[in-house]
Amino acid sequence: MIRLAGVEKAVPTRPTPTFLLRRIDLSIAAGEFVTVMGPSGAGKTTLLNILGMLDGEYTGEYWFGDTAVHALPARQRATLARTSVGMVFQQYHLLDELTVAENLELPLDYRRVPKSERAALVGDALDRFQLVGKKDLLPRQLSGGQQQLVAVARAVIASPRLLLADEPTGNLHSAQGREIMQLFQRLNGEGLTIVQVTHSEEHARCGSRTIHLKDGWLTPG
Amino acid sequence: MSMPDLRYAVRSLVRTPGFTVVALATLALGIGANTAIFSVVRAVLLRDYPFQQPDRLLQIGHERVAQGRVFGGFSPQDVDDLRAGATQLSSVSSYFFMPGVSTRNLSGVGEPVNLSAAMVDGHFFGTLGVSAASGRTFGSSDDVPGANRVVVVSHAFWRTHLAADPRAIGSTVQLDGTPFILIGVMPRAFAFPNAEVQLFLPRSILTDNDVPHRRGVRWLNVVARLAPGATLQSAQAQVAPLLERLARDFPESNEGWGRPAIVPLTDYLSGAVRMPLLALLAAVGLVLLIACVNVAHLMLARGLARSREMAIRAALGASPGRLLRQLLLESAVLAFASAGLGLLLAWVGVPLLASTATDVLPRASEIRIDPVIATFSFLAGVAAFLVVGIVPAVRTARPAAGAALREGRGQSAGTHRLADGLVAAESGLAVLLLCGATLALASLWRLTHVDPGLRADNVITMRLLLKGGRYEDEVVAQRFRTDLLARLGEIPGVVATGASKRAPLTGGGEPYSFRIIRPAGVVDTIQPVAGFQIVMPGYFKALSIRLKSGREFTAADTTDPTPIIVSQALASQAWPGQDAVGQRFLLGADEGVVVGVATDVRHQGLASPAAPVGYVPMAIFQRSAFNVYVRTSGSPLGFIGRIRDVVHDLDPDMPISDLGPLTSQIAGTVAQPRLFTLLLGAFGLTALLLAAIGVYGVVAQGVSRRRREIGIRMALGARAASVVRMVVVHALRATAIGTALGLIGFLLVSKVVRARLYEVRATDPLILAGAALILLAAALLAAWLPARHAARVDPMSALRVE
Repeated sequence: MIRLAGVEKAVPTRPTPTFLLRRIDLSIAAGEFVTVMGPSGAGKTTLLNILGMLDGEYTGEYWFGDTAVHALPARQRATLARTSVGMVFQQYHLLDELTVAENLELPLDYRRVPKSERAALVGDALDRFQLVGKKDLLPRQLSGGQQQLVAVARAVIASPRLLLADEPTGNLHSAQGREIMQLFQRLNGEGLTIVQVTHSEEHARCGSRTIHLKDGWLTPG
Repeated sequence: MSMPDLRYAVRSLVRTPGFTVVALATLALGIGANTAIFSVVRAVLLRDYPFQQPDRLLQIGHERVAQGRVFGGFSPQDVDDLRAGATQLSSVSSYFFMPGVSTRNLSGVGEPVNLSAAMVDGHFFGTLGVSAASGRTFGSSDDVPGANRVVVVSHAFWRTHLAADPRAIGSTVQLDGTPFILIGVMPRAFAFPNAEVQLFLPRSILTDNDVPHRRGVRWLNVVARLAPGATLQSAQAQVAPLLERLARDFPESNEGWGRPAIVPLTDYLSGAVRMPLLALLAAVGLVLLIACVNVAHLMLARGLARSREMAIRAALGASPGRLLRQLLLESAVLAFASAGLGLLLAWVGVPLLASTATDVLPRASEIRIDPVIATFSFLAGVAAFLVVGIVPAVRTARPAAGAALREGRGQSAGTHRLADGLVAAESGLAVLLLCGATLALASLWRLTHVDPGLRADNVITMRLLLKGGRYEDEVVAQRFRTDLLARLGEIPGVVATGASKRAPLTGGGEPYSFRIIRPAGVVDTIQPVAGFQIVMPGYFKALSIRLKSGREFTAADTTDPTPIIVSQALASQAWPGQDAVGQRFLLGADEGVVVGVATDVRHQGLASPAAPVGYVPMAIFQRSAFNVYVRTSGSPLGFIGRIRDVVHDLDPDMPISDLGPLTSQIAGTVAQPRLFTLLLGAFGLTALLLAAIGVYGVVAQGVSRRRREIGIRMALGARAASVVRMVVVHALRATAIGTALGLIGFLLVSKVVRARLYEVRATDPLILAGAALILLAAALLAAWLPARHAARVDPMSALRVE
């Protein structure tokens, strides 16, 4: 489903540019659950941003199915990202002023899903993620684990083909982290392709494959 | 307050030069504009007139019901009767002054010049209670033939023409070729009846030849002083029956002149500009308020940026009171520095304003910066401090210390609501001002685009006075006028020449009436509302006033019968349904005949509808002062030199006044509404700009605050357009609420502006909607700029910062 060929990312510094990713060749099949590991500054988040199509400033090729993402203009790349990718962040990034239900509805709104359909999908998601009782609460009224649960629900509500998770358990205690990983496994079992970044060996083992990054290079585990 | 605190406050402001410069400039502009307008209000409305007990002085005229409230003048006989019968008045005086008409030619002191002169009776200076600055004024003993070759001059005359020579008293001044003894110089502040008056001459020098001294010819203005214990009401109660009695006793001359119009002199002098000036003061006050709101918002934003600093200070042991004191001190330094800068701006701007207002406002020469104005500026600084200083200081001084230190942020929802509230407030104030300014502009546009009934383009005009010396001979004077028009007509490119006693659109038609003997023997007395204009042949062609029927005057017109031309309105009034040309009537004892009917002209001013008017030839009704019109085939400015040469060829000593395009002179008739409108427009624009800056500031700050939220939305798939829309809609919500409140506010006060508008309704929905749309458009633009920036937020970096 995903193929990176010779992807390089650099930021301009003096006297020479600083490389964040070097010659990344990577293939991810549909239905895989891939974990990216590596020390801080290794380029994990940079890789995730490229995979999530938030970043178009790189060299090399990025194929998403049959689509050459690297050749897409920014607007079309954003459209493809909107329809195909869901993201989960370490800091949850829920909107503070919106309730749980409204946070879930946001991606559907941006995809111009009709209002009646949105209500049904939000209802399904609340049910599926056991958030019905919390639908009218604001994020600050939830625990960290519950907030990340909402974030995951929000990331998958529009049925993306790819779920990207940047240290999704980084702010959670171990029990909450395990619950999120179980949720990811369940979603992966339902056919969703997942790429996660984590520092936790235990959580990495939840995936089907682990790749390692160091100083921007893919390295053997 | 301690010196270190003050030093720290100054250093804190210097450390943020961007904030300090913008806040200083905004407040200084607001305070400067207020100081300047207050200096005008003080000079025109608040400063005591240089009369003894000015509140005891009255201006007395006639109220004519048929013609609205007009200060109809008095005849000398009526003045004498008033003086004899009105015991509620301790003193009654009369004077003759008509701008552009009552003038004298000064010779023997440099170039001959034509100067405004007031002919005042022997009671004039005593009634006003004024003395000469040097020498003396004149009394009743000077105002008699044989003793009346004396002159009192204005302070400006003494400075300009006599080099402020203290030995000038007793010297001789040549006026119209006749020597007058200079007996006094008036104080600098004395500017009555008008600032342009430079000469005060005894009324008795005007003989029957100058103005018929008949009861029916009302050419005198009356000023009186209330007797001790008398009031305006008691004077009115006594003068009204007195005038009624005169109307009964002298029906031929006084019928319809039986009602007095009595107002305090101070109201008469400044009443017409009181409301516009107070409206301007209110407008400029609104500008200052908007400026304060803007700066208050800047202070709030600055406070937010300093919440971490405040938290550290609090953590180090500073009490909330200590923090508040420090912040208030910074606000005070800012406000009073702005007041000083504002005073400086006013000091530079007030002389310009005063010179612009010279011919527009009474007492414009007294507009200046003085200690009272400086105090006003200081008080404006205090007001600015109260508005901009207190709330932001209180908010900044109570940080949630722990939160601010942990998160590096300290922005509460209340602060953002306050920012939205400030935007709504300044939008409301700005729309209030914009509505007033837009209505005034629409009114001025209509006023200046009204058809006056004549064409002023390509016409040069000038004013001449044929008085004294050889011009005492009417034949010589008439030959001069005829020769002048003929010679001017010979200039290549001149297509028509003409002349009249009064300049166009300045009123002043002579108040004659004529009688029509109807077939049944009924006698109808007709007095044209706009009086009679005295004109020379060529007048109608030179001013492009069309004749509907009949003919122009010619040099061959004689008194047997007296020819007159009537306006269409007068023709309809006097001979309804008939052809007026050829109709006969009685003008005094003489028979007259209508020789032509001219289209209507707004002789009483652009704002007054064209009233019935008659025209009589100057060859028969000779007048010493007259205005000349020279119509040219192209741009008239190039003819000015040749016109001057022709005049001086005929008389090298003839002073020429007001030589220039007629369009400028007509524009001068609406100089007052133009000045007020331009000032109001400038304040409206300033308010618009300040409101837009306010919206920009709030939105830019909001975008900065919502950077994380925008990043999340974009990461979740929000399009750039939807981010822009979200930001702009939020900003416009506050602006729209403010605009709606401002419109409601304007409708509540629209009564105030109604009387000042010409053919524009104060509630005109199109104009008010236009003003609101202008503000919303400005707010939209102001919000769009930072919103566009918001749409460029890089979600990666926005989320990473978090």
